[in-house]
Amino acid sequence: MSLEIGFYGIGALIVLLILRLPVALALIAVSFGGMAAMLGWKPAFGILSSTPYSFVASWTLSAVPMFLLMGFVAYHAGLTTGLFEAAKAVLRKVPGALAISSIFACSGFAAVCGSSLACAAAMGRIAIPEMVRAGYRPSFACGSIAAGGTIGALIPPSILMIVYGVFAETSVTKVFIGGISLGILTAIAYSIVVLLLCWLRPDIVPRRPVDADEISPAEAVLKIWPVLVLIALVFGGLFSGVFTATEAGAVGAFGALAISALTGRLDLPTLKASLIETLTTSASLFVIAIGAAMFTRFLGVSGLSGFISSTIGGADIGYLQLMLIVVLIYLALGMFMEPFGALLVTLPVLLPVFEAQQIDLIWFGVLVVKLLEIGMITPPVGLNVFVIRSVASQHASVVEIFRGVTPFLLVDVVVVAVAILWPGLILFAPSLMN
Amino acid sequence: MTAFARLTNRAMNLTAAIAALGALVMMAHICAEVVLRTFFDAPIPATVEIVSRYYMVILAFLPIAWLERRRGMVSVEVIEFLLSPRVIRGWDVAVALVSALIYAGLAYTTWLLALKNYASGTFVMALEVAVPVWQTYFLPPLGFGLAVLVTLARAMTILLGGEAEDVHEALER
Repeated sequence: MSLEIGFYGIGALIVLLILRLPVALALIAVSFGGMAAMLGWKPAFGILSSTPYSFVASWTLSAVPMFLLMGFVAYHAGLTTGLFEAAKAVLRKVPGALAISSIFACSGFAAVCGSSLACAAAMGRIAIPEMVRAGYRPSFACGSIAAGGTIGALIPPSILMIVYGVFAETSVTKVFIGGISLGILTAIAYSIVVLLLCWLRPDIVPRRPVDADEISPAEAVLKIWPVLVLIALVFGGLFSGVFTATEAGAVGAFGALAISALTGRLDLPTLKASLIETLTTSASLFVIAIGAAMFTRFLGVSGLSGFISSTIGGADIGYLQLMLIVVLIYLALGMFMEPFGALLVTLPVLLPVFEAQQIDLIWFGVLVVKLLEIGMITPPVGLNVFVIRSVASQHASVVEIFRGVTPFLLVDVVVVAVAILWPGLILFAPSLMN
Repeated sequence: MTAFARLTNRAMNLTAAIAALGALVMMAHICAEVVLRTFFDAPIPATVEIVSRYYMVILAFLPIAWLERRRGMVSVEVIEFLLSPRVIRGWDVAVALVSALIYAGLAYTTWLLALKNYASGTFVMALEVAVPVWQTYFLPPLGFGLAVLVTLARAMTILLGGEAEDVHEALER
């Protein structure tokens, strides 16, 4: 009976989501209704009253608003504006230099910012007009930044990874470190796409190198010292053990504010914009997470989590088949849902399965972030594409940007396959920590 | 109605401002703890407890109503492009009313929990320091309660023929 209620619960959740009830409230309503149906009103009210406070009052989760603040301050104060210039100066001899520079500039931005939307927005404003002027096809210029932005959530700090770590009860630091290799692999794969197109379709990506009258590489790198200092502060302290991943967020936010103030880039509007975005993002995320915590309890009590893991265990589904199913689930959800919703709706079902199948949860934490980020650039709801459309509306329509993203989506299939077939790629660096 | 809307607006902006201040104080507190612990071997007692029981609770619950007003709650957009604007407006009213109901349930149950913690004077022990935390249990009902007001106000303004956001903008002017 409880099992049936579990299935009804998942069905009801899907219906409520399609009916546009906010994700957080849909999760809360279904969990409350399900618990009441299985155990009666009193336990259901108990969970409704206790979960919000007990879930949020968490030391580990405090890293979320702090890393958000660090990223938004770095972005609004313009600490990261020199990244594109620096990458360009270093890479200017390479064919397709502008596109490849913007992809690596995104990777650099990713190291001070945990969200791919901010990453895409920041780079889009700077790099797209320049690429279009240099003769890139506008749809491709926009697509390359929308795709490059997804690296933002793979290279630490990453808000998605912190939230995953809290739910999976794994080390956030290890997931962070695992993310670095997949982030770099993605950047290299995207650069190969640019090189290939440069060679095959010079009408889309011009072969002509960047004009020679630019600043020297050394000068350009000197200009990005604020970002380099911030990265050194956060990662130096984190990896040397002076502070934990949780504390690194606060130190990073303070560092970003201090550097902005010392260089005269911090004013009241900047601080206000950064705080507003931090509050909006963290509060909306926390409510969904509260809902997901209730939903996890509900699925656990209904026995559905156990049922699904034992069914998959009994059905003798191999590793590759299981992974194929997981990839398809996230690609389908990614078409319609934003990443936090998709992550928090699925983890309650998937984590018990992975635990039963003895799949490494650190590895999966990195892979799932990659899959969710692919969802940021797939139609019809691709948030990175929408944000590029809003910062570069004169250059390309939404449909054109989706077209520009397509080559990067194709190479993402290869990146995901590599991550699945060769888990050591992600797990090597975290294993050094033991 | 306008006086009421103005009051809820002010309450929401105030709660969001307090939460923003909370974020900055939390940052300063954690950084001070790291510096004092690392260089002076003098950690600030009960940092973990204060961060999780005070700052985090403030950051999570105070801005909820403000977030609702900004339409910052995440939802899924699958059927939007299939519907006419008229249907979407009606739908928005239904969603706002159901949201209000769920927020009301949350506000009521967390309020009962807050009263219970108030009665028992709940505190947590951090080594030898007793940190009282019962006060913070009143923040969830406050946040959810304000969210009830915002969602009800939205349903009402759409029914009265305006866009919810327009009304708020008009009030702010």
